[in-house]
Amino acid sequence: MKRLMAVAGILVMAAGVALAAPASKSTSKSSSDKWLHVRVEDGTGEDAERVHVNVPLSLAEAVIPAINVENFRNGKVHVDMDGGANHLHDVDFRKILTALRDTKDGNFVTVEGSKDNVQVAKQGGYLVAKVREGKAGGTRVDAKIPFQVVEALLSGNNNELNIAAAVRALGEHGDGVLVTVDDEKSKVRIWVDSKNESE
Amino acid sequence: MLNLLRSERGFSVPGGMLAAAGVGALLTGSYLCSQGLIRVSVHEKRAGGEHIRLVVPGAIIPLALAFVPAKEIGRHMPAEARQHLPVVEAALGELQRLPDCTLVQVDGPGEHVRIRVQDHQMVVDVDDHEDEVHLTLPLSSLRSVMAKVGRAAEFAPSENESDGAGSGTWSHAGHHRGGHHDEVHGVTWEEDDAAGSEGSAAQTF
Repeated sequence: MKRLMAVAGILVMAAGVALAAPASKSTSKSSSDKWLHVRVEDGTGEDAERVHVNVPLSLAEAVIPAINVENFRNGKVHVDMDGGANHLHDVDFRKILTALRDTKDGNFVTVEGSKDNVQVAKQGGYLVAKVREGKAGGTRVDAKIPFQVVEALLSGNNNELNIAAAVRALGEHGDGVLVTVDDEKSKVRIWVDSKNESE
Repeated sequence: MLNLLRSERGFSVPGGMLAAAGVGALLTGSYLCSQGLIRVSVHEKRAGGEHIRLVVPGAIIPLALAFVPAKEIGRHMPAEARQHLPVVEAALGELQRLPDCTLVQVDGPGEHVRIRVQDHQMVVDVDDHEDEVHLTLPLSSLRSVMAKVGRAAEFAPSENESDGAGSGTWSHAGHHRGGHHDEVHGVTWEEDDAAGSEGSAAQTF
């Protein structure tokens, strides 16, 4: 009987030690290990404000389909194309995208104005947009979006943007800088990589 | 050692009770440690400002919630809160899987905000001109709260009853329960398999 009590005591002690270890630590890592990073620097010197946001794409993938507010439901944004002011319903974005995807790399749009330059191109599976405002020191915007992400974004119905699919496609794609905005006072950088901290 | 345990002197009744109490204390301590501690610290920087510090074992939360009827919580739950429950539940589920990381960091002149996940706890640090606030919340405790609130949501009045607006339909992507219609509250619960729907959407492109 006493030996039985001793064994029971040891088992209870073992259970205590097991409980001491957080159960959640045994959970496996999420399927997508990519992180979306946003870094904003506004101002210079001591008055500068810096914002760093690091979002795991797995978190975005889980949360976005759960959002159900107004035009954003089930991971899709409903775009109202029937408004009197806009004529988006006259444009078939899917056909344009398909045409762009099937063409060779090159510049599609180049606007060279007296103040601003705009360039939209396809380069190695990316939709690339460059905007240059003014001359030296003006705002510079560079966007480099993988085509698969754009395709996923337009994979819903005609009047929908499939945000959830776009995020998933972003996770399946490799690391890279998506958007950079630079001007005299502020800098914005949005990129995806596998690190959980921004540089 | 077994010889020692077998000895009559080693197992007197008071000694056994003491050992049982020790094991009980060890188990309780282990459980409390595993659930983490809720820490709240608020320091008002103005002269004579308050300095509040609160440390509570996270294990108390599910224990305390067990005494609050879900029906009572649901009755006072705003329709908007119920609408956002799936988002919070989905976020908490993913946050628990994250390694230690900083989610948001804001550094400005005289203002610092940091929201991070550390040891499966949500840690919020705010330091500005007026206050310094530190908050540590074990994610397991938050999940306990959300589980209770989720159960309470079943007793919440529908949107029609609460504000007269909305369709009373809640697409609950975060839960994996079958769709059913609650005849009592007029709420339709739908199970949205997000992955499935996205997959089919991608195929139609």
